[in-house]
Amino acid sequence: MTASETSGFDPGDYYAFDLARGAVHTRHGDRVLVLSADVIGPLVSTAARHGDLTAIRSLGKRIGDDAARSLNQDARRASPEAVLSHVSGTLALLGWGVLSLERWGNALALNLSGAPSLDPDRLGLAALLGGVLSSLGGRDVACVPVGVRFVIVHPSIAETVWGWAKEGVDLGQIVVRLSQEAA
Amino acid sequence: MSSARIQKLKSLLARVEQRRAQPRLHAVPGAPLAAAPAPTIAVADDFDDDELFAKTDPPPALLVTERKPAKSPASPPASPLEDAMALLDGSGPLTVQSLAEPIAMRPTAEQPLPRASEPPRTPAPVGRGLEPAPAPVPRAAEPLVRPRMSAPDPSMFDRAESSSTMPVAPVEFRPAPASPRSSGSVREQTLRFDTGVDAAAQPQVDIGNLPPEAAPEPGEQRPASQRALPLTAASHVVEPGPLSSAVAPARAVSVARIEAPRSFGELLELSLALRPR
Repeated sequence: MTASETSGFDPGDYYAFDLARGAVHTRHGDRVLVLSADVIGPLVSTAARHGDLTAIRSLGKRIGDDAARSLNQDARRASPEAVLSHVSGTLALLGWGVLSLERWGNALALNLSGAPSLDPDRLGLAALLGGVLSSLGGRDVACVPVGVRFVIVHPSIAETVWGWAKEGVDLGQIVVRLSQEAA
Repeated sequence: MSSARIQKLKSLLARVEQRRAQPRLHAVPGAPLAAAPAPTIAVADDFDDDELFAKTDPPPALLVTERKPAKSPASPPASPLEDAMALLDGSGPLTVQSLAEPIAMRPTAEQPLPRASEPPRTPAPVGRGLEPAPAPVPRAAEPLVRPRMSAPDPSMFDRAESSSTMPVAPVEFRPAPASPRSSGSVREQTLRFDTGVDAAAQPQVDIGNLPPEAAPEPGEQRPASQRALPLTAASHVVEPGPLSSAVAPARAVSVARIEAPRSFGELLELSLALRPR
């Protein structure tokens, strides 16, 4: 077990406020903006109505990159607890709520409690988390909102799972309807 | 009741008390039998008392005896009446009985009246192996004439004896045999008693709410799509660590963690490999 797995996320010195230049940077050098959640919400809702959540997904990828740098190792080989600690810490510093990870059989589900309300279907948060996991996993990952959670699935079946969720099928029944793909 | 009558009864009771220490039979002189037969009563209804009662001149109006000790089971009863009384309470012969009221004794179902040749039942001691308790001595203020109902119920002693001597056999509990039908409707015909009248078809008892055809036969395999049950809760919840630069405290090792020591990449691949059935 490496030191990064045994240590938690360090939030210290994450932001660097350059008041002379009027800029805020993360400790990794990325410039960020501190915005009101009331402003972000309508923007994300508009993007969701137009079916283009690329911007919010890109934001998620940046957050994932930050978490991976904080983890200081390949996230795919790290323990789920270590990855979750750094991702949740990064999201919390940006004001996106507290992230938790659950296993439902072979399916993974995320729960982002305390997140700001962006759009009614929570597709904005799903795109954000999809971007985060795509960055950590090194491949395209889709997150589909099911109830209060987001189930992690392959992008090819995201529409199908989203259809079940809109019909009112809960997460347990969705997991039953999914089976492991033959190797 | 007049005061003179009360006074008379008190004097009679005082005389009885005076003669308690004397031998068991006392004749209480009173009015001649011919003059007042109705209030005349006989006490201690056995042959000796009757003979003494008859020899008393004039016949007493009241004959008081002390309570006779219980006869041993081996000694035969003196009379059929004594026999019956001994069977009922085992306390010995009759002590007080009015001549005007005949004794009505009926054997009950729990206490059938055995034959006179059988030894009378005696109450069993409550504490076996202990020294027998002395015979109860009547208190000074206690009248010698006692109603029979004050005697202890011998059936109580019989029950105690039977419960203490009942052989205890080991009882083995075994699980009920497994039903070949795990679910579905079980139909059993209720018990039918022949009343001599042709009735309609007997009702059936339905257990379960499934139709009979829905119950699987033993060994029948359901389709895979029906075998899986939906989950109601997460099987494993991963909690984030503390937000601190200090070294994280040691985490408690849970069963779920031991069973799933997988990396984040392995868990992610498992979830991404899911496809609709």
